[in-house]
Amino acid sequence: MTTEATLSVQDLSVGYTSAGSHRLALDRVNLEIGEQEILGVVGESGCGKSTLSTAIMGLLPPNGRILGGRIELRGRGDLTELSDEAMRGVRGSEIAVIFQDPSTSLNPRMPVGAQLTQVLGAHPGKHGSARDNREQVISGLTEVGIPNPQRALGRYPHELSGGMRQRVMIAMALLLDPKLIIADEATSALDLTLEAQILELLLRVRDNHGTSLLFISHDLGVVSQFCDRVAVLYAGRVIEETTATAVLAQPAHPYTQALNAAVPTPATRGRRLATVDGRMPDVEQPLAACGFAPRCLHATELCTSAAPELHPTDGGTARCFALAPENAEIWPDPPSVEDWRTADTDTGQGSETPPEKAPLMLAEDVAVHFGGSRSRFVPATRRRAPVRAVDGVSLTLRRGTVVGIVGESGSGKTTLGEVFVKLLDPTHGAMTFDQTDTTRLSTAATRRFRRRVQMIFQNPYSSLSPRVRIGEQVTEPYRIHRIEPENRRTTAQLLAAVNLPASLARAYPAQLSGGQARRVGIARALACEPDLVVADEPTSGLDQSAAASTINLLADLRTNRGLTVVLISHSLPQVIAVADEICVMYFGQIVERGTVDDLITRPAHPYTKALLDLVPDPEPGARLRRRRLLVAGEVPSPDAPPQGCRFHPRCSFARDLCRTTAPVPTPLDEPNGAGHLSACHFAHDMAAGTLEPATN
Amino acid sequence: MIGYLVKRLSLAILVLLLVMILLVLLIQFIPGDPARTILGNHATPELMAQVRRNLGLDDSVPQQVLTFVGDALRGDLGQDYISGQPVTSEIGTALANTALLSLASIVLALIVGIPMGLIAAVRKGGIIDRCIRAFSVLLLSMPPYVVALLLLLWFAVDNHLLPALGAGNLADPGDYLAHLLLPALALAVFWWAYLARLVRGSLLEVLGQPYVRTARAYGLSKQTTLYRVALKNALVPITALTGLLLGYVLTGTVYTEVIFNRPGIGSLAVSAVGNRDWPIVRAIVLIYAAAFILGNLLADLAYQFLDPRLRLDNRTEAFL
Repeated sequence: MTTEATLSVQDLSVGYTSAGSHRLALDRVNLEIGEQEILGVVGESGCGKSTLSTAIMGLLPPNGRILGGRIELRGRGDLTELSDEAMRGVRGSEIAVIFQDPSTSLNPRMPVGAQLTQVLGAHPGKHGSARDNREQVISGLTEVGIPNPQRALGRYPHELSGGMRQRVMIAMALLLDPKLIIADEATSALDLTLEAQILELLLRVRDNHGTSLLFISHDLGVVSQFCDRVAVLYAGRVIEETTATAVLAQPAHPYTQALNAAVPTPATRGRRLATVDGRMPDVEQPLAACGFAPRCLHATELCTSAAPELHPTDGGTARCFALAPENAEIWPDPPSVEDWRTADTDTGQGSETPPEKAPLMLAEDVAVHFGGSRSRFVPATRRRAPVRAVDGVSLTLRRGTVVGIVGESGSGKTTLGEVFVKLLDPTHGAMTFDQTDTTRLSTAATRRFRRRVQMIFQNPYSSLSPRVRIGEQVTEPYRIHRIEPENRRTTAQLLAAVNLPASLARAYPAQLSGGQARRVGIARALACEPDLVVADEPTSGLDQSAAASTINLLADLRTNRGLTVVLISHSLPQVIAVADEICVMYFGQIVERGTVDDLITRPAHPYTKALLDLVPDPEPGARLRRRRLLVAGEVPSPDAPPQGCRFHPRCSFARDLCRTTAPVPTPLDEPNGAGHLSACHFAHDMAAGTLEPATN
Repeated sequence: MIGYLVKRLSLAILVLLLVMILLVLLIQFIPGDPARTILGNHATPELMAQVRRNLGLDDSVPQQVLTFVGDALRGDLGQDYISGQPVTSEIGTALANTALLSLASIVLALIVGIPMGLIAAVRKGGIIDRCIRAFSVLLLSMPPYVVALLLLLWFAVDNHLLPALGAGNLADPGDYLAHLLLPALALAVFWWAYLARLVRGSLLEVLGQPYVRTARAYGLSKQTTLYRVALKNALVPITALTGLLLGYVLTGTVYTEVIFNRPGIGSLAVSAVGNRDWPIVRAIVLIYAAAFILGNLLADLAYQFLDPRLRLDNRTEAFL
């Protein structure tokens, strides 16, 4: 192998042993990261991508072992041969990791400054006096864009926003100027806007420090936008390695193609997203067959009889028999992404324009305020203003439609969802469900209401009781609502409705995969055949394929049962893929509302436009790295709403008018105005695409 | 923080007041004439009248409450009508002995219990962990006075390693400590078992947290990660327990003092109950209650101080 690579992984195999059983997590993995290069590693959960990063760091758990291979770091030789103490010197100073969830990856009981200083202290010879350390930490925090770094030193992680925490994590990674940074799902827990900002920061870090990056993610879209080259891991093997543009434009391996087809894009609207049946196999020893063969559309006997070698493709190499020239007779046409889409059927999305359907739920000028000083004994000057989580939202949900609510964290979308299902009552405003006011229901009427309106909660594991069997949990609504036996469906029927096998009824939540747990949540919500389901981030934390099948499921429920769905999500592509109508929320208000077509073709609010621009673009060349970010900063502090238009501090189109006057939602299409609303002073110019960004 | 302190302190004082009111009312619940119950069937009417006067039983109930609370605030807890001494002076010397015993057993409990839990967690699944677990289960399932008796038998009676009875002479610290060790140990071993389990569980949970992984991934040594990152976080829930420990250890002194024949408020309480010496019983119950309240207060304040996340402002709370 060449010597100039920053990191070169050669034939790396890693196994885990637990309770007598053995699992091969990585099987002869070869990877190379050049200087200043960004290598993406993608794959489903369980494919071995986290094992890869822990093996490189030398932090495998006690039951994990490197079975063979080398990990060469430039200037350090084979890391697998280093002593514990020597390896400790490598960690943090030559290789640094950025973890997925910055809120749990930082010590909650230590101020940020002290945590960074502690890292300096762990590497003697790389740090100086206390004063120098402080300077170094402050300059690190400044570099990653933390405002007022001196003050940030004394802050605890929980006092910072999610984006700021991840910046602190990056500052920690940069502190000792490592050769290689491993970003292990570093942006998966973040909003689209924050993700874009963090990715941009990482690119700047790479350019300024000459750092190489290993970017581990399950999101093919992000990887293709951000990386130079991409390796796809499946069941512990690298099955394709190619350039980042090729991985979306012309993936060669059927598995990469399947992943690709599961990514919602504007082009997949009205079609089912592709999903791959079956699960990734648990490998005990090197497979004598293609690991993907049982799930592959193109598999033949050849695929199950031998393990494929790497064959050259347009952008790199892929481990598939169909790509070998000598097999051209078996597969006359090379596999393509389209193959996975042939089973597509029309999902009925947007088949009937929403305004023609009857309204099911109406929200009129709904507001939810939290906290604030209500006591009369607090002097007026010291009284705290309430947090306006939702502030004046009017919205109509029509029967049999999917309404998407999009926005960053802190935009109030979850709070609004909780108002819909009456987990919260609005501070003011009116909620009407099927012509009844839901804020004034009797106990019995509330019970009936709860039967008809259900919520699918964000975290499937924590919203299922850990010690109750699945079968009991999905039928529990029947007992709660005292449904007569003849109106009940069996556990098997309930599970089948969400494509789960009846055998799961005896399992406990901890035994389920993320996608399965999510389906159990959906099955439970559907048991009483509700009219309205509010799904709060139903795909967060799921792999591409599991997310796609959850989205398909929601679309099917709308088409087949006429269910009304509110889909709360921070992922605009996903909402576009399935919704009929979209509401974009910012800072407690709906800034734009309209049909999916209206929003995609002529976004009339700068925030919508910014969100749309962040959607990964499958076109080769349209790379994130050269794009100017249209939305800067983060959602401002909830107790200090900006004057005028609440979006203006982050808006690149903001003019003087925006700083003084709050815009009101106005219909774009006179006179009926039912469809497309935008709360922007320059909505018409925005929609027409004629508005120029502000110069100052 | 100051606001919280004021709130917690006033709550503690309120609870203490309620305890005092309850103590006054308690004597009203004694069936029949309290004075007769206290003095027995053969008491003379003069003696009974004296006891009633002494306890203020002739006054109205609110008046009794006011008198008791007022007197207690001035440090007067009534008179022992057997010895005629003020209750405070009777309790005073006993309280010093008991306080020292409690303190010694708390220190002993913490300096052995926490390291035991630490070792068990670090050597999870190993032979030491299993031994500590067996030891803990054994001690937790044995009544504490049995443990005290066994210790007494083995150390003092069979092997004459330590003095068996009495509190020793305070003027001779060596002698006093020798007398203190065995009762303190008898009280502490139960908490070794308890703390070892608790610290082990808490530490294992923290060791599984992502921020511990971060510390290792940034080159902190195993030792630094264990002590400076993990243990510091794992001990926060333990501090809450230490506050409660104060109350439990203090009440535990009752049987230890009786078994080891130590002068102290525990043994005083037992004899006072036997003698139906109501003013003494009342004063000791008040002390126990105050100790529990103080322990809880300290635990809450320590928690607040140690966990920055609890210092949350209301305004951030709403969005989390």
